[in-house]
Amino acid sequence: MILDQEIPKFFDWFLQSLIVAFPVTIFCVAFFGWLIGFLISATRRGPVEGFYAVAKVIAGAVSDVVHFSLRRTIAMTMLAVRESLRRKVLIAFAVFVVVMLLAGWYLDVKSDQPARLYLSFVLTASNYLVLLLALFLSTFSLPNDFKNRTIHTIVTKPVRPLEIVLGRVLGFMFVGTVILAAMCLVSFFFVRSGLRHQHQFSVPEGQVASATKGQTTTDAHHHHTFELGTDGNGMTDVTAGHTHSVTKTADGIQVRPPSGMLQARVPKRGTLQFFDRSGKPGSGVNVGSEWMYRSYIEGGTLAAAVWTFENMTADRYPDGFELEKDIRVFRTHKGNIEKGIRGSIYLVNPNPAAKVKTSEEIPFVAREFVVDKQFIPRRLKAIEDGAVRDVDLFEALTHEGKLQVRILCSDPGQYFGMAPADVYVLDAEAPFWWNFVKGYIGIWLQMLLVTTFGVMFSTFLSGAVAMMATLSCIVIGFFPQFIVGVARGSIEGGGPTEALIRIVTQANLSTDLDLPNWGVNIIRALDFLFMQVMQVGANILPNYGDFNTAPWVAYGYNIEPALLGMHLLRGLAYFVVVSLVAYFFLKTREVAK
Amino acid sequence: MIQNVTFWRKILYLCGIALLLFPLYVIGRPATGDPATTAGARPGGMLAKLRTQYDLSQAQLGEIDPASESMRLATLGMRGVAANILWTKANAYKRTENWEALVATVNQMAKLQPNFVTVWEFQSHNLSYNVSVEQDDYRFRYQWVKKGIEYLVQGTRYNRREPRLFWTVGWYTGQKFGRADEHVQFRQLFRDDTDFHDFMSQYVDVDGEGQGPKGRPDHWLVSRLWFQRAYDLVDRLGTASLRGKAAHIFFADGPKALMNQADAMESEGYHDEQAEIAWRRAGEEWHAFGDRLVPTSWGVNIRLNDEESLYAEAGKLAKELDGLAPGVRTAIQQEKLAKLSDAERNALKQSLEQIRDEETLRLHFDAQRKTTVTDRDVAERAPANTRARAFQIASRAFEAQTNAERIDRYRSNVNFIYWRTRCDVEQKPETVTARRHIYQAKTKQTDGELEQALKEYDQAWDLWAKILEQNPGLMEQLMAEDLVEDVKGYVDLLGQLEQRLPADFKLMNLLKLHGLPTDSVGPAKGDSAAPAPTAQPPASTPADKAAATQSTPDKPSEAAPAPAVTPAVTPAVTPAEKPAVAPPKAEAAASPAKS
Repeated sequence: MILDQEIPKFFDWFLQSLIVAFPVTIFCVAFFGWLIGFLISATRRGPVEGFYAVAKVIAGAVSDVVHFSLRRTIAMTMLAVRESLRRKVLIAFAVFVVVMLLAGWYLDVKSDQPARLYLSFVLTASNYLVLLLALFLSTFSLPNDFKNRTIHTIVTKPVRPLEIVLGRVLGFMFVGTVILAAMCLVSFFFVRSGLRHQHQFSVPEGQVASATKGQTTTDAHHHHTFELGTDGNGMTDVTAGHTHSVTKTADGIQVRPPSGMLQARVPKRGTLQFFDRSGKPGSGVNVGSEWMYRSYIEGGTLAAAVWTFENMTADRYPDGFELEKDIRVFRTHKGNIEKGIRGSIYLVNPNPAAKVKTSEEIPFVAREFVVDKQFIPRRLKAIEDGAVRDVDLFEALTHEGKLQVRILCSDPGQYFGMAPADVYVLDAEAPFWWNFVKGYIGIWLQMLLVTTFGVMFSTFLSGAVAMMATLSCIVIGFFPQFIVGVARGSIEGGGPTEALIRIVTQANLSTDLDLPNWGVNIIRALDFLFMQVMQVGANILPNYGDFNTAPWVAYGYNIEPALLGMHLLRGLAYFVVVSLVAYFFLKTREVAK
Repeated sequence: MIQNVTFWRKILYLCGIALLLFPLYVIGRPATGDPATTAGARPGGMLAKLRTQYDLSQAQLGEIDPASESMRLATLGMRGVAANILWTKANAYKRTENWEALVATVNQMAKLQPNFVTVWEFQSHNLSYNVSVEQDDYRFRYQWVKKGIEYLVQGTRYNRREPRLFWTVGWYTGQKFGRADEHVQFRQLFRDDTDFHDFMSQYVDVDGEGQGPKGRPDHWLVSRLWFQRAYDLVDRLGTASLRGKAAHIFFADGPKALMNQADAMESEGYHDEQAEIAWRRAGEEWHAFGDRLVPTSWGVNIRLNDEESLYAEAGKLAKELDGLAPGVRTAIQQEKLAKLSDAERNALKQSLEQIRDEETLRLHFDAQRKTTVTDRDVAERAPANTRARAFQIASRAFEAQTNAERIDRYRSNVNFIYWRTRCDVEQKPETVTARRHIYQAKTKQTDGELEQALKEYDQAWDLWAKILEQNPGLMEQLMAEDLVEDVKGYVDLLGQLEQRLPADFKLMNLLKLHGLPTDSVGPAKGDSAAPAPTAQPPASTPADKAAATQSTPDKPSEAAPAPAVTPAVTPAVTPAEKPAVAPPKAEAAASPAKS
């Protein structure tokens, strides 16, 4: 799985956010909110009157917060729930079920990684449906009340604007959560049943006893080969991202259900340091790939990639540990086509003064695009004073719980490509179902953001306009890098106006516009303004991609608690700030006054 | 009163609507099937008939997939936007090596745009050529090439009237498996891949005509079956369905697949009657290709086999013309010679080998051009009583000559003569035997039986010398280059035995033509005292390979060969001929966009 950025430790992030980011954000929002309010008010009433009007609003806000009533908020919440049900919101769930039923039309049943495909599909389908649901629910509710004047029956009651806003948000969130929970359940069973399959192995009579290898039947568009050990047990090869255990019995050879498809690996990640071909610390080589996620080390030289892992103790790994790697290979010459590129692993003591500095070479053959597992036993051979002897891994090769894993490429002229997240120690396996639920929590957070923004926009815009504004926030939230790239000019094709002209005239991205200079200048100026606004939006608005944890679930990695914690806090922060903004908008709106 | 007016107005409107329903029905009634193939089917209204006539309806293009239709409906008219997003995502997934997501995205793209042929071509090429080379394990590379082919086969179901797609399936199945660096491994994997055979069997006769030696499917033969499907489609729909692809190059690949299969068979050690039959079959199919009527950019149709007969006819007509106007041709030539300047006359007397400077060469060609006597010149001077007939004959001779020249140009595009000769030669028992000797020599050399290997090589050279003597035209062609490589292997073997290539080596002329390894020539066999012969200067470079028809080795991220361009048709004005009519400009076929 690709990890572009290291996930910081939760408390480090929290403290930094608490000390720096959050106060700065609160200050900026408060200051600019006050400034904008003052300017609008001053424009209408003059500076002095405007100032007093703003002060009155702020004082009223403090009063509203002090007199906030949970009972009234719950009442508004129930109102929102009833309204949602009246608007037949359950159709969204019906659509979801229909999509699940027809999923077979769209899913590639012969995929090499069916688990990833199924999980991505259900999470993405749920994500989009729920966001659409939240969009339509949240943006039309208040505007409809204004249009039908039912808002008057609410504001004439002792209900405060904050309670109205919170009530709407919580009400829609309650409905959305129920639907999302149902989707989660249906998806879970859909995935499990979709991936369930069984292979057979038929052996002619009289050959069961002697059969040690073979091939399974083709089921779910794939088959496996397997080998049995002397004890009559064995495993199939890894095909379509999973394997089966195989047992010889008196009745024949039994192939058990699949394993390895639905996982939640808990990786322990280390810090990566590259060494160049002369053995000095460096940064790895770029072999010409456009995507620079991985750096490469040259084979047959001293170039190496070294990971340093912490908390490597005997308590955690009494028998040894599983080292998993997903590295790439780059060949400068074909070599032996039928053989993979060889590499070596050395376990190194980080303490340069240690008696036992390094283990003996652990050779391997690189396998691309699969998670290659290597079990490192607790007792292994290491080099001490020039001699090879058996040592205890944790006694001889770790220092203060730290252990280094050094990987080299053995074949000259060939390269291994690695990124920090490509090699890790398998710490544990978390329950898949809980990881699946955590994936849905990510979707829930996105729904919270959409609902909050939708309600906020609906406090001062009409339904359709609020919907477009919220949709724009969603689009900006899904494509922030693209927007920043266009704004900075690193993506060809110009801004919205220029792109529209190129679409209509079918001009490609790199040619000049076929317009007079003054026309081009006007277009570019317009686009500059557009893009600056959009860039500000991209930096302020939530990045929905960040909240999307579907890849973790699909690739079988546990969603780290730190990550989930960060998402929850950020979601909460957005909820609080945007709700307050919605409150001020609603409070300053002329409604039955 | 007003109520009455309103009432009657409503009645009037209703009647108007009812009346309009009739023409609507006539125009818009859907067809219930194809009356030509389905009993009781109705052709439908005017629009349905027009759709059938111009092959515009979805059902006539190919399969209708409910998933595709529903996906298109779900985009709510923004199919273009959705397609753009999917293309962008596909590029991003490819860049970040997210292959599963890439495959899922290209499948979605195809569902959104099932009748946009470029989607199928581009993405199948992407999978088979670009994604496959990213895999280190050759078995995964094979799987990805297969994925691209399967993807394209899916495309043929939605576009049953696009022979390009069928041709491309054949091309990938043949070239990508058979010309890759790992072709040995790919061929073996293909032979053992029963799942892929079952898949392909739904479309072509893998278990019948697709069977190679030992009853296992051969990918070259399967590729040929796909080419055949493309050819059948063109025969049915007409050559306009080629959409700019050069017809003669398009049709050449089927027989070439048989030749490649025969060649591959021999390189795997099958040197028996099977090889002879394979080459014979390839020759027959090449001949059938030569008999095929092929459109040209001059607007006439030609057959590649007709060149000799057309030249013979032109010659016969020229003789007949000379019979009608005896001595006229010579007289005109003398007149023209007399008009030449002294320098031109002197230049004309020299042969091309004697000319040493450019000015003389130019004068030589100018003089040739000026002294050319065309049939029309003769006809103009024919006696009055035979002049009309003379003009007729001259016109026919000119047409025959022109068509022969056109055929010659088209032949050169596909290296027609070389492959015809090659098939003729390769199917002979002595050639198969010669190849067997070389194969066994290499095998024995690998096994360390050097003396036996030497004997095998010697027997092979004896046979090859005879073959090349009978077919000297092969000396400058591709086959000879392969032979030179085998000779290099022989020279290596001699080196291991501390011997040198004898000066009287049977294929010395061939080596001289292709570059003699000068440091390896020893005395002639049986003459150990004779000094080593002086090195011969390297021969002139051999004739160009038939690049348009030869497949190229697979390279990382190599694009599929672009569909061949209709050849440039600027006429060559040779002094001996009348200027050919300038043909219309050729149109280049669109090539799959590179990723």
